Amino acid sequence: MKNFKALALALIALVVLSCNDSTDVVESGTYEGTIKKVEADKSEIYVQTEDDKTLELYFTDETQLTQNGKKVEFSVLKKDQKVEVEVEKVGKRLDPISVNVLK
Amino acid sequence: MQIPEFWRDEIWHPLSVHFPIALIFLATFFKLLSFKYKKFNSTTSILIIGSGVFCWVSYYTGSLADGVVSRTLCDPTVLKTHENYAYYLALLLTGISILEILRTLFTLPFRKLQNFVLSFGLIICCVGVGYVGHFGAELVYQQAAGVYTPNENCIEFE
Repeated sequence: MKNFKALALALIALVVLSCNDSTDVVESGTYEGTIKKVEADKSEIYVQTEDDKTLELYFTDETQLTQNGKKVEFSVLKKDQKVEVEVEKVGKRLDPISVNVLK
Repeated sequence: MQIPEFWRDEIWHPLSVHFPIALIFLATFFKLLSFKYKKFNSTTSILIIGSGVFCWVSYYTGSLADGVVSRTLCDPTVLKTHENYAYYLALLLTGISILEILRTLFTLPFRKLQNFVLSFGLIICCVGVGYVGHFGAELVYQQAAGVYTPNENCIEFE
């Protein structure tokens, strides 16, 4: 019974923590990573960098999105795609300057 | 220069978020009162379930506002923390609401334990709503989240 309670608590904690979107703030620069999540209605992506940081990027009118050197629409972005992002740190906000879809 | 339309996406959150705040505190108050006065049991149930429902409504409207204000905040990490703790609070309130519905519909064992869990859970919710709310206030009053700043000379109001 004790084991069952501990397992139930562990499962609840796992469910709660897995739903947590924690993000990181990095310096301005170019980063490579994988798209972890796409929120199309908000024009937003979460990118997991190679050093295990999660960048939350809200596209602006100035953000350039490219693939194979050509401009593409936001709808091409999918989870698990490799991307290269150039970001500018404004305060603690990360503004995506460019996003290049690698594969 | 024109004043923006009032019914913007980000307006729905401040309009809805005060309902669960009020309901959580009232539900806790009536829950504690119902230990002495049983006639408040139904009122307590309605308040608990109402706070659970309104908590998710507020979470949804907050999500609508997020897409708008995140692009202008100087520190969106405060918004992320606000969202995450609001989510935990909504989960806790959902659990409390489900327990309240079940004990209203069925005769469950360990009545005293249920009352303890509900009361303790509601007190945690009161603390939680204060914690979540202070991040919300920080977003509005420190970073002007979703707030339209009029022109210095107020010419758009002339």
